[in-house]
Amino acid sequence: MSPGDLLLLTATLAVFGIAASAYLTWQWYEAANRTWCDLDAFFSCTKVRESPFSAVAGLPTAFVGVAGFGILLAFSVSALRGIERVGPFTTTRWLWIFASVGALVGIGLTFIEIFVIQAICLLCAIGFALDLGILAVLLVLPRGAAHT
Amino acid sequence: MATKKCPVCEVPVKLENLERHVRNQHPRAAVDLKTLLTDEEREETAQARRASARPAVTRKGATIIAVVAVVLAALLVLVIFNPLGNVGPGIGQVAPNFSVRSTTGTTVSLSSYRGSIVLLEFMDVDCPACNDEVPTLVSLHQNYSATVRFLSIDVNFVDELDTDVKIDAWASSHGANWPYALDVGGTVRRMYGVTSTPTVFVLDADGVVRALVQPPANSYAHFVAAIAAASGA
Repeated sequence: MSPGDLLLLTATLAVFGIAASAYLTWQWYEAANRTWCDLDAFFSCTKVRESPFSAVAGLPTAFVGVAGFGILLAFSVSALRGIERVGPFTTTRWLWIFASVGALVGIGLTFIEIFVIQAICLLCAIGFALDLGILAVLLVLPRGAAHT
Repeated sequence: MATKKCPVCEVPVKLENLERHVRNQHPRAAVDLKTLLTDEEREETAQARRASARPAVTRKGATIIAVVAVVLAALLVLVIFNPLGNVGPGIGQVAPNFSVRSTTGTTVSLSSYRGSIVLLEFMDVDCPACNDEVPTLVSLHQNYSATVRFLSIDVNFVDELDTDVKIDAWASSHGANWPYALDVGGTVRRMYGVTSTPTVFVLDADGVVRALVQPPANSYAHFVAAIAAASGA
């Protein structure tokens, strides 16, 4: 795949990351009185949603995913439009930074899910997998891909 | 890319190369490079430069990305809507029969409740919404137990495994004195397609589902209306 293909793939993964995170955010507000997507005691979105880790400063944690994937989408679209540099870094470097931050946050939240809450939220896991997918794409993206 | 005649040698030169051409080919020419191109011509060369700098998307790459997008969309639809899941009996359909062991050790079969209206509740003692609903069910039981049978199935969605002892203690603490049973293995839950709690199926005397009551439409009045629908009123 060409650098353009890889950047478009990054943008596509980011779009689905936004979709998954936005749905989780909506569910956090809307499903307050019901359990949801609970397959059993371990794969239990309710257990995750009702834990203290489901919100940060009153905002659902999933909203962080919406913002994070939104930033990844913005930088990948910028790179596709030939914008090589934004501020002090190249657009590719910015993608690396935010994808890495997202992966670290995802690792931390997954650790908390498994060992503290002892439950997994399926959509949260999908969001984490999408971020890891973006990181994998960036691994094969040539340096300076925004400029051919 | 448009061309323009060099003011010195009058050879047509591409706009983007004109300044470099004059600088390199006619270094002693008294030409003001700033006035070589108009503002529109400068904008045109800048746009052409940006367009050529954009990474190209290949047809093969676009195809692969489209396939990835379709797969991801299907995955999200499956997780969010679960269209392949067992949807359970709908209104107007006969509720599937089952037998469970109640928390007191007796065997309860749904079919033994035929001839009466049944409130079949799927709940979990750790589910906040179930805890919110139980006072309503207790009131209903006080007023309708002569004509309506109550049966609650704990599907153990939330927190650690529930036990007969825990369920009994919970029911007693709320004054809920009708049969409770633990859905071991999730058999009954899957049979009824229950994905959230509390979910209450209201069955008529023939075992047909006449109403489904779930939050937020699970007030006392909602249940009364459901019972009325089941009684054919």
